[in-house]
Amino acid sequence: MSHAAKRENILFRLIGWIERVIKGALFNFDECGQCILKDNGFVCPMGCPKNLRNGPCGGVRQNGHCEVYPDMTCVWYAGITSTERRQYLMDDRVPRWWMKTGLFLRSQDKIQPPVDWRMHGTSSWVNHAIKRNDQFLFLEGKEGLEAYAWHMENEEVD
Amino acid sequence: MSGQNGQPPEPPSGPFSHLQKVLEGGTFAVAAELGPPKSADRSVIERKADMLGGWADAINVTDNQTAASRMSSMAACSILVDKGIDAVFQITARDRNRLAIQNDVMGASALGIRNVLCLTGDDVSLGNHPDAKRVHDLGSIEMVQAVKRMRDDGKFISNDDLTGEGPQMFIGAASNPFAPPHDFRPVRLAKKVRAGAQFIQTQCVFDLERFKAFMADVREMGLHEQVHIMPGIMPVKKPGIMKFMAKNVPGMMIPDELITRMDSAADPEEEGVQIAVETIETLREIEGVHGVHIMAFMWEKIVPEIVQRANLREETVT
Repeated sequence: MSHAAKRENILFRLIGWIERVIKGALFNFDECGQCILKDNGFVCPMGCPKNLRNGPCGGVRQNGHCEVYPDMTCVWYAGITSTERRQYLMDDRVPRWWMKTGLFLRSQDKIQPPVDWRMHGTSSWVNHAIKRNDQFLFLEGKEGLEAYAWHMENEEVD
Repeated sequence: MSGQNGQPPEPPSGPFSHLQKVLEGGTFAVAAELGPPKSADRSVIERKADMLGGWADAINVTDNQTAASRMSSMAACSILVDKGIDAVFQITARDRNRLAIQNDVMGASALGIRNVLCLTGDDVSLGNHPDAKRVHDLGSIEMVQAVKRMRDDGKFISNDDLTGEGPQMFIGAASNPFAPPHDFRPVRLAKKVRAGAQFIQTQCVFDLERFKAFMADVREMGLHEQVHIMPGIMPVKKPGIMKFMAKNVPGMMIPDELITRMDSAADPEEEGVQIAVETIETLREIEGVHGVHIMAFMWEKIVPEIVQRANLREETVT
């Protein structure tokens, strides 16, 4: 158990245990504490040996297996090629020309921020609920602009 | 470094480097690759730089290529800059956490290095230290975003402010059209472009059909107008090397007819050069391809011949 998890109160730790049991059974779960399963078509990117949260690296083998572990299917390849998962990860219903406008972000177009390692080992359900992972640095589109404006207003100008 | 009235400061305008000037000027650019030695021998870099310098617009210096420990990429780039050559500093996320990435980029800029290529990096299991801990604190996309943020907004990843000018660099990233899932590759490229990548260097092109399909997707998404794509070219010396790459290098596609062509050639070296030249000629015709990146791994001396035979340069640049 990570140090971050040891500092949690008993209720949060309990929720963390439940989350760990459920996600551990279903996904390639690594307790990053900032779960993006719903954006990623229920592919846990922490199962990738390179922890890539923004899509597969260029080392995927021609049979879809991982560069690092030749016996393992690339977590991203598994998500993108499976029909059930693909509908969450690759929103094919949105026409490609929408992208050019830059106004509409499909889930596969979201740039995921770097992992905040302070939350590693804690429950992402708790973190979502108490807004512990309220990072705005890398948010995009309208959301990002609003957050940036808020930051500029509230920052002390020297 | 917040600007006046709480507005973000004006991003520094380019061009930052010679490579950027060439690409934005619409000339077909040539980048060559230089692998630093597994030693502290400065003369190796100088010798290779003399060999390549006049024939390329920029020289890429690999960062612990194939995950084998080598001389620092930044140091080698600095030697090139001292010789008046435009260097592309390749930086991998495999060996550095976010603090080290930001400090290396700032250091490189201070040394006069004006291009950076952000990479995830080959895995440590392929190199000479398979027992090493892999870092991967950031991915390549997050790295591109971090460099752009330092340069244009004067902020670190953590939102802390830089106290002076950010790295003055032309930002690049890589793309591999040949690794599956093929339909996700343009999507990932689009992410890199939105993160701030200004030029893209790809994995070595052998399978032209696959590359053309990738470029068609890229054009459909309008990315060819937002980023300069420089496909990779690798001249191959021996048929054995090509077979080894086809079988063992992940994310590489080599058509069987090229392997038979190399096998049946009387002079494999000449055939390898001929394949590279023909590939460059075909790539030049594709809309959206703005240059090539020649990766003559362990065979740097062949680059001038390829550049001449593909009619990329009539005489030396400098």
